[in-house]
Amino acid sequence: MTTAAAAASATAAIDAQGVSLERGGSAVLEVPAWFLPQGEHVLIRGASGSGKTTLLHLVAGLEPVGTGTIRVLGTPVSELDHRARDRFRARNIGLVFQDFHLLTGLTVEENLRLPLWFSGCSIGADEIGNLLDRLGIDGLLRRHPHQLSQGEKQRVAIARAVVHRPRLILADEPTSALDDRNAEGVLDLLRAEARASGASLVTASHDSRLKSHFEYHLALEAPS
Amino acid sequence: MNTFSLAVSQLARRPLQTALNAVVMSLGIAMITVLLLGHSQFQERMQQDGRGIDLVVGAPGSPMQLILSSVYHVDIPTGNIPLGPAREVIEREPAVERIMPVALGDNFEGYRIVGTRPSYAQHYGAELARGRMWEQSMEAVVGAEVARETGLGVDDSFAGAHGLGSGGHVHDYAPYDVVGVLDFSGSVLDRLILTPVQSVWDVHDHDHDHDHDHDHDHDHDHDHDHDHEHEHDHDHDHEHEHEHEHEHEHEQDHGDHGDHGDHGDHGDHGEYGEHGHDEPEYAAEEQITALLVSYESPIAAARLPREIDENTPWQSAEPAYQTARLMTLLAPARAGVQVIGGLLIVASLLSVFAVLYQNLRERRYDFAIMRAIGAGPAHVFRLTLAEGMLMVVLGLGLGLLLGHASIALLGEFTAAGRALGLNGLTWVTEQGALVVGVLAAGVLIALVPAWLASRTEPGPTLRRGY
Repeated sequence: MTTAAAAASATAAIDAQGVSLERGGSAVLEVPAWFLPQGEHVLIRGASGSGKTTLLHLVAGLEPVGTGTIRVLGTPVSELDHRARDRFRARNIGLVFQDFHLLTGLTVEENLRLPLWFSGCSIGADEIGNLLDRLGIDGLLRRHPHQLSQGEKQRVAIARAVVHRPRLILADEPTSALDDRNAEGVLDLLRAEARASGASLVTASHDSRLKSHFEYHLALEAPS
Repeated sequence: MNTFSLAVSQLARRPLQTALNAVVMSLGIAMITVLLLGHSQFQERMQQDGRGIDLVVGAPGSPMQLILSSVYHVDIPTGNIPLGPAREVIEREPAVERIMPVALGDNFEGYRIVGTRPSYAQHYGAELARGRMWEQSMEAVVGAEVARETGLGVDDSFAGAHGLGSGGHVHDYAPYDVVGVLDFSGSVLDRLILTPVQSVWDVHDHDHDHDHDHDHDHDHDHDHDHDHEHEHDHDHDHEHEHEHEHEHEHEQDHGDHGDHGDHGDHGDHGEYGEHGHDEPEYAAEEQITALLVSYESPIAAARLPREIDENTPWQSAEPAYQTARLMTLLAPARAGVQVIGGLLIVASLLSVFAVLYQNLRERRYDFAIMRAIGAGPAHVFRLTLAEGMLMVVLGLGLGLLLGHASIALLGEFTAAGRALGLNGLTWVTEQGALVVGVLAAGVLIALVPAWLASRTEPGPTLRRGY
């Protein structure tokens, strides 16, 4: 690795080299060399079974990397033990899931406070207020997830992913459960929030509607 | 946000399950609390009211009944004994310090009227709150609780009713004058109305003179002792030739069983007093319920009981021994309640475990999400532990509240509770052990589910989607 490449890697949001994963003896993921500059947005495309979700999990440190190395924000996540991965994830990564995954027993406000508690971040009430304003969910704080529409749930999920100001936002199929209008709106919100905090955004989706919105793409193919 | 508030939110999500758990546990805790408090207060009351009374001399029958009726004023008496001869026997024992007569038979609104001497009040350290001690027959000094509950005060007068429970025949021609009210002493005196023994005799002599028209079968009086209270009114007109057979079985009827022809002539008996006073004069037929004896030296215990039991028609009973026996008799009942309460607590703890364990499956996905958005295993562990502990603490708190409230209500609204002076605001050390034990069991019960929850693998769980 050249000095220039090393410098670039230090500031890269994601730098993955030779990453692959086997489960139960069969390959489930093969990632070509992948480099995402800090602050950029990328769309991971691929058919179902190509390992999009798995790759997001590896980046987030939710699962140990099989072979290869992944550096996230300059940190070699693939070499961290699980405790260090938990800490790293809590501080630096915001996750948005396909099915929103709001905790149903908690109110919207409690759902939003969870990442702050886990990461030990303290964010002022007015900053949270601004965020809710931007997402158009400021009136929903006392509600429970089952009282929200799909679109509202997804916006709460986005708020939860960004409330602790992560530097990397990972979104797994954030629009597949939404109609065109909502899908567009959610994507715009995600990108706007990422830009607002200077975070990088990785969206994994087989949703062809999103294709044109991203400059960077990573195509995954199911390992043979 | 913290572990506690999150645990509260999780419990609030399943209110029925949480409430049910808390109720089952609280029933167990409450039962044991009532048992502990009731037992300790019962024992305390027994010790306090029996303190300094070494021997009770009364009519033959159950010694425990004699003690309960004449010392603790809860049971009905075993019968009557003649004051004079009984005193004479006891006074022959030099190591006796004090002899206090107790003459029962009447009540006012359920509070016993006790014919006695001022030394009886002094024995319990009772002080006058208002008024003075009695000086003559038909003057009465009422206990603090009696005054509070009945509204009797100095210069009031009242008529006693026959029997020891409320609702007997009222001697309305012989009203008592209240001359004093005692301060609260925390003893049995609080619930008694004290009067000279002479009052009791006078009232019943009066009755006797007025009740000649009764006609009844004496078989009534041969029932066992406990039944006599209701037959009291019939007791006044026995044919005198029956008296010897009935003397000890009747509900105490002061003075009217003896072979005395002159019912009105009691004015000339002397004041009987502390041991060592001049030999009083008394009429041999004058009956009382019991004599309470305090020893000057324990040596009396070796001689006096035997003397009474072997050489007189009366019986002696030792409060200390009888109360200890009572505790022994009650022990199996206590153990039974304890076992049931304990089983309820164990059942509720198991149910806490079941809830947490079942939640592991239902909430694995929640745990995985929490892990994904930044929770470490420790957060999940603490959360599960806190949920379990919260359930235990809820049941424990509710149970203690329920237990103390039950004792307080029993002490306020039941006759037995009032008699025992039950008080919901006390705490006994065994309760501390109960609390610590249940909390520790709660921690142990929650540890395994908490550990399992903390091991949730977020990646695979999220991938599977359940």
